[in-house]
Amino acid sequence: MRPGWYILCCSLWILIGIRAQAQDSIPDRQIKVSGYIKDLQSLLFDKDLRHVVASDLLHNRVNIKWKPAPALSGALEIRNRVIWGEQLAATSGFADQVTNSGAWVDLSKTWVNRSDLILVSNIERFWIEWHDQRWNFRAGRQRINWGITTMWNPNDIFNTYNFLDFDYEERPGSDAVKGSYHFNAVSGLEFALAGHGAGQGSTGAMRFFTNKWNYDFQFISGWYGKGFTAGGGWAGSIKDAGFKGEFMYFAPRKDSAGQLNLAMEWDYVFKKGWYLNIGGLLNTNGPDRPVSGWATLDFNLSPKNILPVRWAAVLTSGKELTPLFSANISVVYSPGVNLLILLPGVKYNLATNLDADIIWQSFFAKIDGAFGSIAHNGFLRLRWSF
Amino acid sequence: MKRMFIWLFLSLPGLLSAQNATEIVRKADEKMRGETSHAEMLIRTVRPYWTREMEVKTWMKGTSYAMILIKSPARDKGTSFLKKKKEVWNWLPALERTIKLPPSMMSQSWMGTDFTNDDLVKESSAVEDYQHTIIGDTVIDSRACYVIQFIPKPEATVVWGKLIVCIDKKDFIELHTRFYDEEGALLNTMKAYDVRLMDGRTIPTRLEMIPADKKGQKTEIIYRSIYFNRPIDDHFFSVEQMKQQN
Repeated sequence: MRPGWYILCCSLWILIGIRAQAQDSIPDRQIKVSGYIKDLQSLLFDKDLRHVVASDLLHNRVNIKWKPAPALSGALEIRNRVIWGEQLAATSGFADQVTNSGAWVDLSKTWVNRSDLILVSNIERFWIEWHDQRWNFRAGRQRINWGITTMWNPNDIFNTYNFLDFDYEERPGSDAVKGSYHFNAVSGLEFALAGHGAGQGSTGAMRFFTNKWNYDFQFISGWYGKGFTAGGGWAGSIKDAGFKGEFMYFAPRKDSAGQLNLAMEWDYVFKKGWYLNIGGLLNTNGPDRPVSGWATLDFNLSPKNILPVRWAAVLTSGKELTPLFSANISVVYSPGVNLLILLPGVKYNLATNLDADIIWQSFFAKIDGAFGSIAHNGFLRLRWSF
Repeated sequence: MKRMFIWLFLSLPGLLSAQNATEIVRKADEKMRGETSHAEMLIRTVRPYWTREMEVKTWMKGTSYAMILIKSPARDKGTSFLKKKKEVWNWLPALERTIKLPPSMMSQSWMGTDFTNDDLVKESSAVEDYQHTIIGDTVIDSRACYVIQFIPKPEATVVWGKLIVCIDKKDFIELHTRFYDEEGALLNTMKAYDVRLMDGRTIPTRLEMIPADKKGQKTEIIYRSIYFNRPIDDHFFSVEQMKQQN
């Protein structure tokens, strides 16, 4: 484990903790604990819906927020997961897949790793922050979220998330230092530096953000891995429809060509509460022809590989049928690869803090000249928040 | 000249009444709004077979700035909304990100309640966006009230076609409001109860929004506390502050 700032950050946490406990006058609410327990039942079907692999995930997240002084705060968030079922036996190296890659420091612990059960804990956030009216500094494991659009985020160069991993609501964090300075209520500069672990280099970037003509704008410049990157994004409206976009350019290097990622979307809410979002993605390095096998599509997503296709379009529609019951569907289509993903889901609030979700994922693609179904996944999730 | 004088003379009572009506609306509006306000409230959504409660904190400055922070239940805690002039942002603490909402969201239900986003952040101005006429008198909870009709001005972007508002003659409290659509159909009724002294003002502390066509359905807002005219800097209404409120 590397020493450096990370240990410093941890030590500061402990020091503040000792100080906080030593002072009787500090009210209890300076430490806030929240989180949830979720149970996720998965059914992974083959293309013909004949064969199914079942598994279950018990998922607990504990978030501890600390505010020892108005200008100072810290967070420790831990995610514990117990996974069992047929999927474990059917997938080799499953335990490696459920831990986050790209972290500078390994803060995960696999307590049990058997062919029928895995118990893994991971520290998801662990940071300390100081701020005043204009400055803000945060160090430790944190999420640096520069994304603007809802589906694909080319500007999210620090911690890309997989849009199919709907159960990972908080998304992965980065081991990073981040600082920002606000010129006024809407404009400022932010810089961040994140390490990615042995041989994976680092990401460092500066972001200027402002608001003009009822639009949010941002411009980003820095490096990703070992190459230069620059981009920007916007969020505004055309009449009553929201209009957002992000673009990111990665300069060519000896071992990789230059690349542009561009995402745009429009969203609108109709009179009876129907929500509609239409978006598109361009990834200039993605394949634009049907592939020879499903495995050739690289779903190990990263800032350079937001979706492993050249072009993709998405249509999301949702409606709150009652304040407790809502339904939505996303349809993703890539014209070149001929990839189609259907993502319908329903959500029901059973009690104040108890939610139930049914989620479906269907994949279709043109493989070896024929368009057909690839796989289908069904999920039932119960979530209790505290 | 003579004709003009007669016209003025004849139309004077009408002009005076319109001015009076607007003045009454202005007083009632200022009573609940103030230059700034900071409130803690309970929002209860009632349906025939279930009830849900939510605790929120709100900060408002004029008609341009508003911030709403959800304190409970746990599943929504920390979610906040920021409105600056025509723009609205939503902060999702689990994702640690802001999402800018499309303008078409303003006329939609807020968090499943019978209030719209517009009702909560009061984008439209009761005083500036409507023409007001006194159309009668009534008595509500032993309080004598003016009955005032609100018709949106042609240039105003408001979601209603007409409002009928009952305002207490003594304390200028808006006690009863009916919201009509552009075709003249009644959509919602808002009733105000539990008039009490809060921060030196006599105001209703419980509001009920009742949709016209849905039996057994309503949303209640109960003020736990409200403070008026405490200075709030414009800079407070920023995305950065929205994050810091958690």
